[in-house]
Amino acid sequence: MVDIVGLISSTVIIFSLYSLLSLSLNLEYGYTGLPNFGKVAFQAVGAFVCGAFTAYAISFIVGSTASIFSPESVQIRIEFSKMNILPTVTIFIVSLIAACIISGLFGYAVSKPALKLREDYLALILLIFGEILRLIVRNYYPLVGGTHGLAAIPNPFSWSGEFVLPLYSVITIIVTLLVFIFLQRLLNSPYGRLLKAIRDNELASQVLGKESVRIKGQVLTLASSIAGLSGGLYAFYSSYVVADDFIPQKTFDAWLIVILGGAANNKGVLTGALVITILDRSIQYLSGLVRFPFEVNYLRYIIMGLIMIIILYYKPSGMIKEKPVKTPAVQVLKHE
Amino acid sequence: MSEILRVEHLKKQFGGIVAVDDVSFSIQERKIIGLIGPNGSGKSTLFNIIAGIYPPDSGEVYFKGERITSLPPHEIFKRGIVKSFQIPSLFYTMTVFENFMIPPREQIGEKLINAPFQFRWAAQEMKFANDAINLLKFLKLNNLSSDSATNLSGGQMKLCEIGRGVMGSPSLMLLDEPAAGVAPYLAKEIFGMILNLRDDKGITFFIIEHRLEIFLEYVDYIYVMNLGKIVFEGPPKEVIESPLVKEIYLGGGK
Amino acid sequence: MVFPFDSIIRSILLGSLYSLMALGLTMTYKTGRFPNFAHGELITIGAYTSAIFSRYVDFTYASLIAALVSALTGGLMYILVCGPLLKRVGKILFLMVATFSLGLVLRSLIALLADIYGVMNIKPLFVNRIIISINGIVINTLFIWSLLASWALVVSLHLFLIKTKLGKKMRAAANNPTLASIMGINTDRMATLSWIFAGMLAGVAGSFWGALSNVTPYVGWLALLTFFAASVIGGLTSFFGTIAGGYIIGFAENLLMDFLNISLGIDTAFKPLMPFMIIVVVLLLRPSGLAGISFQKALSMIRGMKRW
Repeated sequence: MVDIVGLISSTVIIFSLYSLLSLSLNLEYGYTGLPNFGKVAFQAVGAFVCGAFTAYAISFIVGSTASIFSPESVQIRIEFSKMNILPTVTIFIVSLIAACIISGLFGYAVSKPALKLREDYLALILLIFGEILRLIVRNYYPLVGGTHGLAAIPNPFSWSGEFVLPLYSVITIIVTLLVFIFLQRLLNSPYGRLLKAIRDNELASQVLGKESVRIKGQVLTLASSIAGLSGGLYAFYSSYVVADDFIPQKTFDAWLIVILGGAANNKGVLTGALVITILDRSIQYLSGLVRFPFEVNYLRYIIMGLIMIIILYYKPSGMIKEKPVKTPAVQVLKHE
Repeated sequence: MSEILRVEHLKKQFGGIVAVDDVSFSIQERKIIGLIGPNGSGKSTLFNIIAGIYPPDSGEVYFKGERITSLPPHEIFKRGIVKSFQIPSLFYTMTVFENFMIPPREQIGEKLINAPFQFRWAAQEMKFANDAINLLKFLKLNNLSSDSATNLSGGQMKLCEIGRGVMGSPSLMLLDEPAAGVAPYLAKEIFGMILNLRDDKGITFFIIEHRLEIFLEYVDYIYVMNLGKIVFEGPPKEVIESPLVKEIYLGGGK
Repeated sequence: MVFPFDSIIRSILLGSLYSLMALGLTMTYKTGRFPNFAHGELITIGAYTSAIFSRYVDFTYASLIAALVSALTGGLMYILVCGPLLKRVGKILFLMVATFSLGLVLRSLIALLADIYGVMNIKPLFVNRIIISINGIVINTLFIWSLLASWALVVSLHLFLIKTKLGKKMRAAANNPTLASIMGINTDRMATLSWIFAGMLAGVAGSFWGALSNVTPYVGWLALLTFFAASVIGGLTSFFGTIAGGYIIGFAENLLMDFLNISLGIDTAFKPLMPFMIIVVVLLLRPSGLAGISFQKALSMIRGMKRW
């Protein structure tokens, strides 16, 4: 008997998480031309912040001195979230805000030195940055338990028993929609035009008065915030975070979605996210039905890698093309 | 007529090559000034220094009395100088109209804080849009407004490059070979537009041209560069009759 | 304090292998101006080939077969994916994404097959005999072979590129493709050759790498960002810089790491951080790395100093 509700809920959540991460990459790469090969790192920061904050907060409130990684603390967290709805939800919201702020700060900090580099070096250094972060967190036990990870991160809907996933899926999809609407409003404006100009020809944009370096830093900060948000939401969904989860393959997922869906087109990105979510869920579902003689994830990445290469060759502009920035000025054009 | 641009003892070296060698001159406003010289004489380097793309090794640049030496390009723009590129540097993924909407100054909607709130910048955007449409009509490009910038012909791209610069409301425009590679009749059209823009908007033009014959009837005064130095200057008639200039061009500049 | 002989020997061993791996990366970068993120997979393929064939033939022959297989794969990478993409879209960023995707596909395919056939973690049949053991200096056959093989390859590649007609054509095509094609050089064919040679180097390196540690579907990928640092030190374009970089990384990872561990108590788990930090530092301070320093001039200067 297939758990339809569970299937739909997890699909919605995964779609939301993919969307948020990809929208953030679209802002950086699609609109501004910043090749962020280290996207996963900023998502990781959000996940680590939420996980650690929640665990330490609950330990503090309860007055426990046990390590947050001990079975004792795990029990405490599970109990706490079931009994104390309001504190759990408050901690959830506060930690998400903290995740956004801190990952945004990371984005800002990285942008200062990195944005001076030319395209291929920038991509490489961001990739390396992601790996450096993963390595350091992996070996720094107090944050998220090194290689063991941090478990039992309490979902704000733990109290609802079997309704956790459906309720949480509503939250994630609302957040995704809000971020989407915000980005659409932000980018269908002179600011969006400005980003594209910087992307197309940075020197020309400077000669025309744009402070391109400062703007690129802004973009990286904002996009990192959104990535951190997706990381935080992921932490509460999976209830377990470990440094080694945040590997470059996750950055690849976002790139596939952006290029498949259509760079500089947020609707396209959502469409791409939908496609990849369906692909991901289908393979997961299939692995439950058919016994593969190997780990299904391998198949998933073979398919995704091939899709990427094929799109790059045949349709690099993606499923939905980029369109001119939609501002009220368009009306003026129509009347001519 | 007051002085708008003054350049004093500019020097710029790249490796072992002295591109600009102790150049000084002054330009009056509302004039159309020419800068000619063979390839490699330092003309584009001079423009790049004035536009802030790179600083000079020594020397000063003054604009409307203010020292602007070594300021970055966006600061130069804010003071009222716009440089156009020899190879049109349009924003090729955007339409002609969008290209024209980038330069207007102090756009409220360009700030991150304001952008998501349309009511804050909508009125200003409409004003700029009308300015853009009017300029496009003036340049006879209006039927191409919604076309991608890549769909323009070479001559149209050049006009677009100039028009886009004008949208930045400059007092001084540095045009780097605005009619290069363009058929003579089209070149005349472009220069005619430049004259109109000078008369209509009061812009001073400083123009690099490689081919003397093209803009003789349009310029008020010409500077001649060779090997990084200004070797001659004067009104067009004097320049074209100067034996030195003839030698530079016929002798290949060496 | 015990003189760290084993650390030095290990540094040299790893340095020789890293420089081999990185050299292939530099070669393909010179050709297309994009880094090949699938280069690790050429190493993995070499490692698996050698490990499997070493069960049937002598390790030396197994390494040669590995070199061949990787060379072929390298050529195919270019012919089937990178070459066509380069001609069609040409954007360096797209090629970077493409090579990463290619690496991902190959890595997953190898893992899939390894999972099916139960060879997720194997070792080649290689008898590592100790040849010299004096005063704590232990040198075994793997060390000798790695050093010999890497230097033999480097020197012969260098001579090939400098002395032979084909080598000169390859260099011309890499340095200035437009000019080279005007001069009648088939730049596409030269590029394919570069990739084949890069694959060959990777195959040999992979074979020894497998003998050193284990062979898993991820060996190449795990090593990638490490030997990438060697290439970066060489400015992604300089042969000698890359080789020097390989040894620098080898020493940084081992001798330097041991030193930091003993003196500052830094956990050896942070070992991979060394090459990463080096990449960051080089890219931020001097992206051209050691490229542009004329090693010929340096060599003649050193020779000149000997007269004193």
